[in-house]
Amino acid sequence: MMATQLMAAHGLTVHVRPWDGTRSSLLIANADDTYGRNAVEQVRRRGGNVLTVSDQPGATGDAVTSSIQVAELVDRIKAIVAPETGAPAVADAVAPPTSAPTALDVALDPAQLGGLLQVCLQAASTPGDVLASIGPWQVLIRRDASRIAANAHSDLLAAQSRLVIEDWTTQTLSRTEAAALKMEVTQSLDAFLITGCDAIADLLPPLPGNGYQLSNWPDLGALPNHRAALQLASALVKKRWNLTALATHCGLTAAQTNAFCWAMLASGLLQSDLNIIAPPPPPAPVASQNILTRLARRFGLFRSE
Amino acid sequence: MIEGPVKLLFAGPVGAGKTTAIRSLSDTAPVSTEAALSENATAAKSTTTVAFDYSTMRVDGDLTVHLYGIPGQDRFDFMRPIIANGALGAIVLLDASSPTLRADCVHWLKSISTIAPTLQFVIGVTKADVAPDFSLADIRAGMQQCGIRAPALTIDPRQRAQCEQLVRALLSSL
Ligand SMILES: Nc1nc2c(ncn2[C@@H]2O[C@H](COP(=O)(O)OP(=O)(O)O)[C@@H](O)[C@H]2O)c(=O)[nH]1
Ligand SMILES: [Mg+2]
Repeated sequence: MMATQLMAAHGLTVHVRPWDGTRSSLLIANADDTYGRNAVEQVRRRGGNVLTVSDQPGATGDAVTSSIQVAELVDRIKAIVAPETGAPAVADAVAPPTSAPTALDVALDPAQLGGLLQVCLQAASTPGDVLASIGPWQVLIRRDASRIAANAHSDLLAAQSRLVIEDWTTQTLSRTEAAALKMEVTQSLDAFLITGCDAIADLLPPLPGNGYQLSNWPDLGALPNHRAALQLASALVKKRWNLTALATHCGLTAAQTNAFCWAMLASGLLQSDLNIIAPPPPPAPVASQNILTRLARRFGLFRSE
Repeated sequence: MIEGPVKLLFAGPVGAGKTTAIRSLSDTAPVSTEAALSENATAAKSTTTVAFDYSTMRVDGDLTVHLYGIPGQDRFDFMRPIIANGALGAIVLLDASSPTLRADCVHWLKSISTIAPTLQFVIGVTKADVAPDFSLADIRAGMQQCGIRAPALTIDPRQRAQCEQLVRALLSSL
């Protein structure tokens, strides 16, 4: 905390948050435990900045000890994050440089993202089902079928809380191989991703505000209380949206809208810009607006006409 | 233009959950006319709806939504246009465990569009809980084959909230 305040004095704005597998300007990690070392390895693999803390005598030369003086820590962080000290404005040091990949690049290059979202995005390019495992947990992602299966609910819950963290081991299976696993519990992949992304809405990198549209309705049968999802889906099925306009139209926050779009990207239903399928012309409503409005109110729907 | 009563249709094969869904949604005692199954229907059910299910759902004080289950057996084909006349939309229920799911989807979308071309659809896929190999891609492909893009949701018709979600999806797609 003190280091953060000191950095501010140096014209650097710092946001400190626990590591969640998503992009950041710098990872500070304990090299003396496995979790820390895994994080360091993941971030280094993606070419990210790392500062390790270690009290082991044989620690690598660039590690700092946990008893480091605040001023020295600030210098080390500054040297990594904003190498040209004394340069006029470094206040945007935490913002990615302009050449950094945008969130859409991340989406297209799933290796930039961790967790099960990455697995789902990668599943787009592999025909067949994907068996994803981590520790004792295992889930079968049937992306084409819009289903996710597991041996127990606990696997699904564990998976849902690891959407952007940890590296899953994956294995592509044919439909026959996957069916032979006889997994007990199945649910809608769309609903699984929507709920999961919603829970980490604030952590998901913002998608660029380009034209987004849904190629198909997501399966929202299991989410009768998630009105925002129905609202977003019905807007995105009807036409192409810029995400800011979409959030305003639906009366939702940018984070809620962004989370829903991440879920739909991972489920394979969201299209952006070029590869958009033209929707069929809407059929003429056969009931009066008055009746539709009253029905909508009864079912807790918002209608904007 | 409908200004009077609002009518919602429930269609789909025998055993898909039409009677169950109508019971879940209705706030009056449903009228069902069940009878012994004809020889060509599934053995798992000993009775089926021969004419139609009917019930009502009260909306907003004085607006009543009439819920009609369209008979699932082909020998009652002649009833369908009568029931479908003037309906706001159709909820097509399909059984996820059917080995001919895509064909079922096409069959029901086509037969309803023939009798009521302007009808809005929503598809409710039931029994996904007992159909581990079910794929929503079959439904999406079936819709595409019919030139229809409607919401398709997996639901359990025994759950009122999920039946309401079907109606909500139908209204949202209008
Ligand atoms: N396990 C399970 N059973 C269901 C589901 N939907 C319907 N059923 C059962 O399937 C049977 C047939 O349902 P019914 O409403 O009579 O079908 P109908 O012929 O279309 O009217 C009933 O015993 C229901 O309880 C579901 O989603 N899961
Ligand atoms: Mg029945």
